[in-house]
Amino acid sequence: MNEKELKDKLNGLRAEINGRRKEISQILSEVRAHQKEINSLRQLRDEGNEKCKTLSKEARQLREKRDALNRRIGELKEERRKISDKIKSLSSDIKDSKVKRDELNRSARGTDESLSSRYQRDIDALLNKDIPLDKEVKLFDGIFTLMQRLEAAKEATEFHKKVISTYEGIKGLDDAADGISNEIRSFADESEKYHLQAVEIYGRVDELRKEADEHHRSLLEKYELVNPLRDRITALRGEIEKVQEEMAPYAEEMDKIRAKREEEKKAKLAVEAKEKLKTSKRITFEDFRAIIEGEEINGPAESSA
Amino acid sequence: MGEFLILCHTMDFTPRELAEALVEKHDRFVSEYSDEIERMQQVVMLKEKRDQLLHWVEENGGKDSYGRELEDTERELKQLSGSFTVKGQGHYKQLRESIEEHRKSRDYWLDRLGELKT
Repeated sequence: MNEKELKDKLNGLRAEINGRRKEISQILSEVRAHQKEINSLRQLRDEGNEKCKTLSKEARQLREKRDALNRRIGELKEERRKISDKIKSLSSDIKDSKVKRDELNRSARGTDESLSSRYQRDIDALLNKDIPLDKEVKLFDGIFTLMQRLEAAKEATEFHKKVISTYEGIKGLDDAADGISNEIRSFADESEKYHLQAVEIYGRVDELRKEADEHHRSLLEKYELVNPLRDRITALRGEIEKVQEEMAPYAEEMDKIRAKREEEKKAKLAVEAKEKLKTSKRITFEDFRAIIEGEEINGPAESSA
Repeated sequence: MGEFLILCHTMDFTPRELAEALVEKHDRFVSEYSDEIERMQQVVMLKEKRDQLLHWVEENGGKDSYGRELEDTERELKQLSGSFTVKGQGHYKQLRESIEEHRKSRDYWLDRLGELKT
């Protein structure tokens, strides 16, 4: 391959390299534009995720407060259930006592006071009054029935007192149950408040997460766009390397041709300088350098100096 | 009487105890009415004695032992009459009948006592 052919070949290869470099430059410009958006999207995504993390922590704390209150409500409900069971048991006692009291009242057929008064009157008549025997016998026989009725009336009074006392006990328990119910209501309101706050925050977290996910998706889309570009740059750089490798022997050959031409030129100048020296005895510095360089190329002249 | 009052204020007695109390009540009425009749008879007797002594004192001028005995009788009658008034014979007749009724009643309760458990 002669010098022209070599030169054409090298120029062709350089043009290829330049073409690829230009393409790389255009792609890099495109990548830089995408990269700016990527950075912005990444920042938005990371900020969103950070905000989600902070809000989730806040919501978790609210949920923990709500759960603690709900546990307390559970305990209070258990207490109220026990009181309710006790009230049921006492109500059952009252029912039983009322049944007994009513049975005794039916047996007594009179009040404790009226029967007691009648008993006093009858026993006084029986033991202190001058009354006929038939009336005495009648009173005698009746007094024990009256005693039984009076005993029944007294027992009925005792059951009645028990009923009243149990009612008072139930009232106390009702008051306690009402107090617990109020406490439960208050805790439930507070728990609901925390729950709603947590739900609201979770709603915001969902929105933020959606936004962050959206940013992430956009980011991935951007990567989808940028990655082939980067691959393309890598490929172009590889191609440039290959072209450069291909260029190397031609360039070397071209360098050799140029060096040879340069040596020939220098040798010619040295001959001309020597000739000039022979004729004019005086030479310029450039002529002198040409003689010296000519000797470096061809070796020293035999005895011309 | 105290025992009756105790029984009036307690219900812890048995039929037998009540029957015993009734026997005692009838004894008390018999005794009470008998006493009244006896005191009436005593007054009547003292009044008859006083009338007889008065008659004898009037006949003898009041200077013998009849006079002193009349004074004693008058004093005794006065003492007795101060706390006791003699009523009509119907009342004492009724008392005698009552005593009889109370005795019968007491006997009835004594019979019942035999039948009643403690």
